[in-house]
Amino acid sequence: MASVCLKDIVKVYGSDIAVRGINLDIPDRSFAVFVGPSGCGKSTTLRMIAGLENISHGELQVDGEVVNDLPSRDRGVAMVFQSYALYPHMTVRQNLEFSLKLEKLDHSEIERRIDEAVTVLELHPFLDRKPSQLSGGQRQRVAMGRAIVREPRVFLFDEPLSNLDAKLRNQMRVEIKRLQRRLQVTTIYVTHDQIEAMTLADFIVVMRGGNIEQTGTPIDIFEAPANLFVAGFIGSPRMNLLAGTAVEIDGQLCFSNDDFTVPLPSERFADVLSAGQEITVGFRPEDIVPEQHGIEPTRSVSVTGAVEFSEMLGNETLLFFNINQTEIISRMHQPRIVESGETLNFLFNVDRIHVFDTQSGNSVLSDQVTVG
Amino acid sequence: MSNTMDGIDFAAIVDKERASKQRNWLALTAAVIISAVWVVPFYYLAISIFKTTEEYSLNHPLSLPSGLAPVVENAVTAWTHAKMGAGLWNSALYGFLGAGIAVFIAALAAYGLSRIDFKRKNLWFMLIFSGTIFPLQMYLIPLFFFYQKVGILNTHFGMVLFYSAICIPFPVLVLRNYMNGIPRDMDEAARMDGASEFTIFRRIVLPNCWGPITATFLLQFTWIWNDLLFSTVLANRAEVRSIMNALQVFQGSYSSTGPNVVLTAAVIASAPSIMMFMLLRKHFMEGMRVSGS
Amino acid sequence: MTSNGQNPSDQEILDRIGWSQIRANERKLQRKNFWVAFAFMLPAILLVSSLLLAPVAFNVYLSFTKWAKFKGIDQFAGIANYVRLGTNPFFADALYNTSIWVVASIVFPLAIGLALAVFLRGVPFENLFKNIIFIPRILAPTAVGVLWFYVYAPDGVVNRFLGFVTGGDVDIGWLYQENTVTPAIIATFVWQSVGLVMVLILLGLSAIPRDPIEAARIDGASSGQVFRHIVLPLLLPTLLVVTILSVLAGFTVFDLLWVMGASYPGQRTLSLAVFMYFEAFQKGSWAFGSAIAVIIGIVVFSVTWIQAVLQHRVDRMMR
Repeated sequence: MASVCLKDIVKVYGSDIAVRGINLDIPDRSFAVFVGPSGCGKSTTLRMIAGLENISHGELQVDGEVVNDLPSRDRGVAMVFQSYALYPHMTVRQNLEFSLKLEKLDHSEIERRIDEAVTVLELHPFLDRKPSQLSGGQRQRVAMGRAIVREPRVFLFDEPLSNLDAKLRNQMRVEIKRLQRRLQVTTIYVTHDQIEAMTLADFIVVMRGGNIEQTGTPIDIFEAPANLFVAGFIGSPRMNLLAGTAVEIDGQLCFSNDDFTVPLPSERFADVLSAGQEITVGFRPEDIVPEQHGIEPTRSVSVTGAVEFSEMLGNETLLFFNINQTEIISRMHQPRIVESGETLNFLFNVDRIHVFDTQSGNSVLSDQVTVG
Repeated sequence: MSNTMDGIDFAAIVDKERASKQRNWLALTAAVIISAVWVVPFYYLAISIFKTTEEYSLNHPLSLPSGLAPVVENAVTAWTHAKMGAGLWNSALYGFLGAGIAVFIAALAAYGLSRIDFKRKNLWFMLIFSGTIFPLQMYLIPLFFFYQKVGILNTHFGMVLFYSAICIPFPVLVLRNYMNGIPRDMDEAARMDGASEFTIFRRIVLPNCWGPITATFLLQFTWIWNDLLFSTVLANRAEVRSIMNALQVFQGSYSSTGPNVVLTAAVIASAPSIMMFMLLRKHFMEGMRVSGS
Repeated sequence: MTSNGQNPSDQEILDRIGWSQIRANERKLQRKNFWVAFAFMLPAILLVSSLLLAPVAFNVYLSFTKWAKFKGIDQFAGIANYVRLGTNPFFADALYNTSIWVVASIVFPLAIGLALAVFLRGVPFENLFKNIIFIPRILAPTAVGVLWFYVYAPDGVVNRFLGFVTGGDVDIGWLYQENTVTPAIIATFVWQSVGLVMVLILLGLSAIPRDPIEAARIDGASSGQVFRHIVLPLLLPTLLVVTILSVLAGFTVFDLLWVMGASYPGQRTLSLAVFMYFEAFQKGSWAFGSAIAVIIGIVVFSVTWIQAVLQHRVDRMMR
């Protein structure tokens, strides 16, 4: 159990800067998830923490101890690889024993640790099988077992669920969360799937292009995305974004895009916006609902739109329509079949609007602007 | 058109079938005749070893032997005069040690070339592989001179040393290519588990290479077993001669004893490699396939 | 909750962290990697360079000296040895015979191997025949040479068979006469090696997709046309590999010639390889022998080089 601290971590490959100086404090026993598109540097950062990549610049601390120059085995970290990386020629038991034998632990201790891991992960029936005789989910549990028996200070997961089918993925997600709760070990988890991030994390680190875009709890990031990228990345289906200008109409600050106008709640935005500023508004699909077909918002603005097409998901229907050539998605809670071309009246929830400065991409409400 | 039903002409089909069957029989006969070219010499070999020298010289070479007993006497004569015991022992020694050492050293080198990142890999690979691109004749004189000077001419050590060296390049090629195909994440997992590079080699990568290792070992063993040239030059003395060397010397000096004896010697000399081939046929085939790549 | 402010440029970051120092450190790590890899390669490098590469270099050097049985190894002779080769009649004969070997080892195994491969496809008991033809391959050339030495004997199988066929007494001294010795030994060589050629060609044939062939048949092409226009071109890469293997094998044949040519008085002219052995190890003309070895080396290299070029062309053609 240990905290992990990254101070100005930079990774340079030849002429390419993959990680551009990130700072991060991961508290002890927490479940931190690095999420972002491919190439954002999340895996590289994880590998630097693991000791598989050299840290070009900066300080990495585990439990207060600087570990930059320590080899992997001495850092107290254990990793679960995306492809499990099991030793194909060894049985499950031998896979689990391997690192312990290298550490020259005595037999009883090895037995104890393996027993514990095997019980937690329900691997008893597989101990004498080879990886090729196991299913994907079973192999993944062995990979986790291999990490657990090392009794590390930090668990590292590198996209462990990407090789599983959807159903298994959901199952394993729950198991991983349960495991971490039980073992109370600091965990750093890398994924490109924002649903995994949202469901697993105690706090999320959103990365892009080698930088940290935002860190925070899942709710924080969902409710208050710090910039356009995070707003569009987190949440499925994605947040609707509409670019326009801030205008003053009758003393009320409003957002305007051609003929579409929405008043912006003064208590939040009056002090931070100026008329004429280029802004982009964001609103989630559940915040623009058809009249009488969803939860009626307190403060709303009416928008009429012709539905281009709809997706019936069983518990809800997604409606795709346009506001001035920008595609907007709306979530209808009472599912019914909507014909293409059907015109509906949508209620736009003014209180749940997000406003971003179009040029910088940042939320106009972010009061801390620090390089992360 | 007779016997038609729904427009299908059965008679014609039957005729065609019969014609193709006839063709098959024709082809079979031809194949038998052709393969006779291969079978006859073996037949000749098989019956000759059962004849006494007299029998052989008096009768037609393809005539059947009168009994099976003479083969024992032939074998004993061949064994003692050609010193087959020493020859077989030497070749077995050279084969197992030479091929074994070579393949192990090749695996080490292949590991370095495939699993570790460093500059100018190909240069180093070519350095090792170039050992095999020169014709054998270019090694002979300098090796002879060098062996003589250092005093390892006509020694077991000298021969094992040479065979080990010459059997390295090809397995390096095969094993390097094979190791390149093994996923790297195992290495990383092992490294995180605390394994040193050599431990990763010994316990992780090597155990996953048995296929190509066996195949190349067999190929190199066979090459060593069949070698005549280097044994003649570097280890011609009777005690250290390879089996093929012994056979050739026997044939050169005793060809008047009778072909039946010399042929028996040839059979004795070839028996081990034939047995090995029979038992390990699929590994041999794997070796051929792997060498073609 | 933190968020990102301005994004510094690449150069700013590099400057800030002191990139030149970083790069030096990374290079040190790369060097460490290299030494670890070197340790793994060391045994191989040691053995190969001392026992294989150094001798080759020394051989080339020797060919320019006067080293012979009692004469000094350090006496430089320039290209005298090579000049001597030019005027040596045995060398000319050996070269001639070697060329015959090269041509024969391309043509015969290929033609016969191809014919057998095509012919045996689909014949009943196909595998049995294939195995029979392949078996000589697992024998040592020495043993094969011994066997055929007696097969070619004056009262051996070949002569008896010919006598049976012609109805008379055939007494050809196959391995004693100049005009028959090389063809006879070539026949043995083909006998031994055609099995492998056939197997390789069969492998190549089985890799040819069926569709083009069936399409051609539907279009009305005869078997011969299908073979010539579709099968043969697609077989080209395999044929090339086979050719190269055969050429190199044919060029450096020694065992067969040594064993079967023992009773031929002009044995030393049977090939360059045998000639070299004679000069070096029987006559003790070490430097001269080295020169012959160098010639062999040059020719083998040329062949390998031509092969690499042809392989390249064929590969590009296949794409």
